[in-house]
Amino acid sequence: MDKIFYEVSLIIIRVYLPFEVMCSDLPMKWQCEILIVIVVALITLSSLVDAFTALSSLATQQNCRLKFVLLQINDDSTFEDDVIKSHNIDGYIQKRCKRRRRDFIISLLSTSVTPLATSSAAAAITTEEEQSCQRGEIVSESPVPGAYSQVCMNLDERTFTLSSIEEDNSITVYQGTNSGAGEVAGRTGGKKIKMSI
Amino acid sequence: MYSYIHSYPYTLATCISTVAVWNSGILLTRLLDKLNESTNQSIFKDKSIIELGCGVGLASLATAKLGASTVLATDANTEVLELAQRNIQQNNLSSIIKTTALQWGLMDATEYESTADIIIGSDLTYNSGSWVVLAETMSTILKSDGIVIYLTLGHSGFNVGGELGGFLSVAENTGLRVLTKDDIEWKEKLRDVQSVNDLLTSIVTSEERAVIDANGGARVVILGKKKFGRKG
Repeated sequence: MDKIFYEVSLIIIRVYLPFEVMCSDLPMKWQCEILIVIVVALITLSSLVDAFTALSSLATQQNCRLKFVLLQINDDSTFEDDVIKSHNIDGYIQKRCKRRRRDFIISLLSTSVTPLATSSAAAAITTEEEQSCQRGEIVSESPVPGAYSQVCMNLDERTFTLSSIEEDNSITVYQGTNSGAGEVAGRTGGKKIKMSI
Repeated sequence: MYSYIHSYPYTLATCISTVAVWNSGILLTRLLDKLNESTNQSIFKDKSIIELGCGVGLASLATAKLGASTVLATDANTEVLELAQRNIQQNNLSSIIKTTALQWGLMDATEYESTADIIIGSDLTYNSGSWVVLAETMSTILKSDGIVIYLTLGHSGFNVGGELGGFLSVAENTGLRVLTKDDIEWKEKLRDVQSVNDLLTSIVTSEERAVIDANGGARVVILGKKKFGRKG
């Protein structure tokens, strides 16, 4: 067994999983937000690597959008930096803090309760705005460094209908790919702007 | 940390490359649709269209569906063009729409000199540094009796009027002019349309109007080529 021990205290993953249901013979796309909490204590180096492998695998799955990750490792070593980078998940790590156990409990409560409490309200907003997006409506946008962003940009595809023609009047376009890590193009002088987190 | 996340709830850590449909693209597409209706489906029929800054290709797809014979969807970003190409295939319009990388300016534009009956574009003028090359491109690739349908939509921190006015002053020095309903090109292509900005107003809901107004409004302009000749 490896002599190096790490304590991975908490990993929170929020993923959006789109799925389709049949409603009156029409497929309707819904998005389901799932919160995954993984608590691992006193694991070995090899287990830590396995945990990151699983995280990386989750993050790169098609239609899986990693929303938030909090990772706490009670060790001052820079090993985890290397592991995170080697698994291409450094872009998903929101916060990595090293605190004592008491602080960790506070952190656990504040991070697991607060997002859950606010997620329902946020989800309601998201659902309403995403429905507007699905109807091809113009929705508000927020400025981000170098560009603008709106909830509709999170959708994989959007559909629009032309009203001046009767047949074959629907256009469906894909938006972006899962190859990047939070990049947005447009209104930036032709450059892609990395939206760091 | 949370206030930061809540400030940008839909952009942070989404882990996707959002080459997206912009509001201006939606508005342009609706306007093209409305123009098609207002001209008894004649404006795009059998016309050659070139879109500048096509992004995902929505407006190009619309003109193809509205009767254009050929559409050239252009963008400077080759990754964006790959997505546009995918969307063209998705909508089974590969026989009508082609994509190509086009850098604005005379160098690339001369390859497509006087090939466009109609140039379409939206949200292209936010960078004043590109006004000259954009105007040169439009002026070069437009046929002598062609028109440009250009729409700009406000964003926080941008002044639509100033942005468009600045571009138009540059465009008028590169062989373009703003068309009115009295111009022959307008009468031929836009027929009985009195005002494109009135059309623009008619295609948004009150809620959308509020969103647009909150960000500085929207403007659409029809351009044509200047006529050079002897007077008298």
